[in-house]
Amino acid sequence: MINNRTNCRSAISDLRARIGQIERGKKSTRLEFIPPSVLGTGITELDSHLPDGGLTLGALHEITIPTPADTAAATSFCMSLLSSLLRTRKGIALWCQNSEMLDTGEIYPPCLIQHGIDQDRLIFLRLKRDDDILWAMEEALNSHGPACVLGEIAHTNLTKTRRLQTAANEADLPAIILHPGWQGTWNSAAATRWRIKTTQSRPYGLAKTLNEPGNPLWQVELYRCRRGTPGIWKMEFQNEKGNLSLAAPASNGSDNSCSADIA
Amino acid sequence: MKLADARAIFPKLTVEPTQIQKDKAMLEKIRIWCSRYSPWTSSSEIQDEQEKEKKDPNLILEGPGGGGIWIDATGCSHLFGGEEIMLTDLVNKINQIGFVSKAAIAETRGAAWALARYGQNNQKNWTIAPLGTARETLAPLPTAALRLSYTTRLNLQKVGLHTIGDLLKLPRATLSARYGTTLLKRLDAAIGKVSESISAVKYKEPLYVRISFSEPIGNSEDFRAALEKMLILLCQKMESQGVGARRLIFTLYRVDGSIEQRLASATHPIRDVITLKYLFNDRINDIDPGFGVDATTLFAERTEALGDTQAKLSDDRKSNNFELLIDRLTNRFGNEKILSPRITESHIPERAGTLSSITEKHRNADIKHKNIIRPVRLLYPPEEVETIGLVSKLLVEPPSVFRWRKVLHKITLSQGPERISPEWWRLGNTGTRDYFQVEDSRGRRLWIFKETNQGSKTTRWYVHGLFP
Repeated sequence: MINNRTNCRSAISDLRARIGQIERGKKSTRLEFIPPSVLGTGITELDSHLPDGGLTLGALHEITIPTPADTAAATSFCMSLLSSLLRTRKGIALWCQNSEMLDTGEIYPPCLIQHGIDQDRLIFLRLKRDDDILWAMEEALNSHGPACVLGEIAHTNLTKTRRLQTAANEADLPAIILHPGWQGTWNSAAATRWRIKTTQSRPYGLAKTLNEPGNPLWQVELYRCRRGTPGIWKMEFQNEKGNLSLAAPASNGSDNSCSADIA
Repeated sequence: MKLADARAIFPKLTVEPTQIQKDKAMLEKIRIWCSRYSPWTSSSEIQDEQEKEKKDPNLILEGPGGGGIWIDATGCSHLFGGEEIMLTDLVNKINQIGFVSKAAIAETRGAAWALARYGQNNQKNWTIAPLGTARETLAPLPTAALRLSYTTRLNLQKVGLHTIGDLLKLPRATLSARYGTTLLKRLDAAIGKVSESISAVKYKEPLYVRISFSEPIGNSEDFRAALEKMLILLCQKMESQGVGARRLIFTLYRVDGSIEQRLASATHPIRDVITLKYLFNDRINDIDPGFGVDATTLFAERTEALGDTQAKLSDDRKSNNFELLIDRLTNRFGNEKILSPRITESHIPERAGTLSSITEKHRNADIKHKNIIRPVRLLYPPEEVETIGLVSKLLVEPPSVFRWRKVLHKITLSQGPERISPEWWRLGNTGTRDYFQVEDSRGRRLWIFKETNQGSKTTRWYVHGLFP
């Protein structure tokens, strides 16, 4: 019986590998599992939930911002991802900004220090039209130049996102779309789709006594994940250390939540 | 004579400081202009450089502000109708440019130099030494006309040898024994016993390619093919000159005589055909062919030295790729759209961090204040909010409720105040600001401040940034 089970399990994992490979479009003569390059987010629960053990690098990821008030949270989440990526990979990241998103404020460079991003490793491109941003992202991916490509896009569709996903796959570079959700939504070919909402913070210790805001707390929802399942987590951004961690479950007078340092 | 003495003698003396580099540049330009008479030109600056290389600084003969051009006009004078006409033309034209000049033609370089500077020019400002008359024409000239060093000239004067004729009368062995071989060399060169050539500057081919078509072309595919052909030729030329292109102009000539132009520029010199073609890629789609294009040209307007390209390591390729991408994006969207974060030392938040164009060179401030928490997004300019309810005037406290962008925010938690005073050394100051990090009942975290103007006692509240 046990033998059967192990046989089944290996057969299933083989099948998964083959399907995964076909999906990723890599043509190889041997059907062995080429593990895709991943970015560990540093949060074990999140990493074990994601199908590849982390954020797949050669793919398109979308982060939806439900309301304008959540813009800062989503931007910070993006920056945390970018920060861990730039720590493991060489190169400069390209962030294509949409001038309409400037309504919610411009990205303030000093916060880059807090997130652990070196100013010389990030370049912004400020454009007006979504199509231009999509073009620039695709060009950037095809050139194999940057370490990561981000774009703020309000409107797009399945075809265009599929093109980006293919380009990201070919180049083995991550592409991230930051999307103001209040401007509309679309069908997407992205590998993962996230929604970040800001929630009330839970100060502790001295901050609690003085009635000051605690570390930023967000509700991070993975609402679509290819080859995986959706999930929802509460995450905390440690202001002092500058990294993300899973928030401890709510209980009165709770201590510091367990945090994992980014690899 | 010292300047003070000269001024004493003539108080209205005009004095100009020497600008050696500019003089050199001007001389070079004149030299290039002189190539209309002969392709073989050189300038005294260049000769002086060569003499310097031979480690004989005494032979530098032109003072600052002066200068001469050598032209090897062998076989060229008939094109102008004769030596006389050629020289008249030369001198007149240079006069028109604004310089006073003297010219001479002789059978040797040394003789020409001597006659131009020391010859009896009469009114014409030029001399021609007929063939075979070198000795006679040179004899009356002073010894300085032989391009000798100062010490040699002094020595000659002391002994009473003032003209070249005097030197010619003396036995050669004596001359070399007393004054060295240089004097003899110069003398021989001047009378033609020894040949002395002008080493001309190599003619720099302009980086320009042109293709014409037997039938007018009209679609972008053809334009691209023409561009590629021209790029191949241009890159070969650039390789022979050891340069790379930084700015290219692609011109199309239509059958009706009108012109269409496209520009591409790069931040570093490029000599690779594929890369340069890539830069032009999107520009070609919107070219209007009109009734057809029958010729195209490609001109490298700006180039920079580029050595032989080495085999690239994978690292270099990645950074090259990124630079290329930035070039491509710059060409399509413009320089100002590509921004880089800048952090400066300033207490005023909107000055401390900005996004500015990538072309501005700067030095990022050393960031020591790592622990100050700053918002992720900043509003430019800060937006005023309407406070609702009482705000204590004595205590520095944020309002408990305020309206921002038509939305009501109820503050539950707040941290502060952080006082940021205006920078008194700058003009156009802000008032004193007291900043608070606040969180409202919905979990939105904002950076707000209270601004007190010194003049009016009013206080106003603004939202400056958003925290995650």
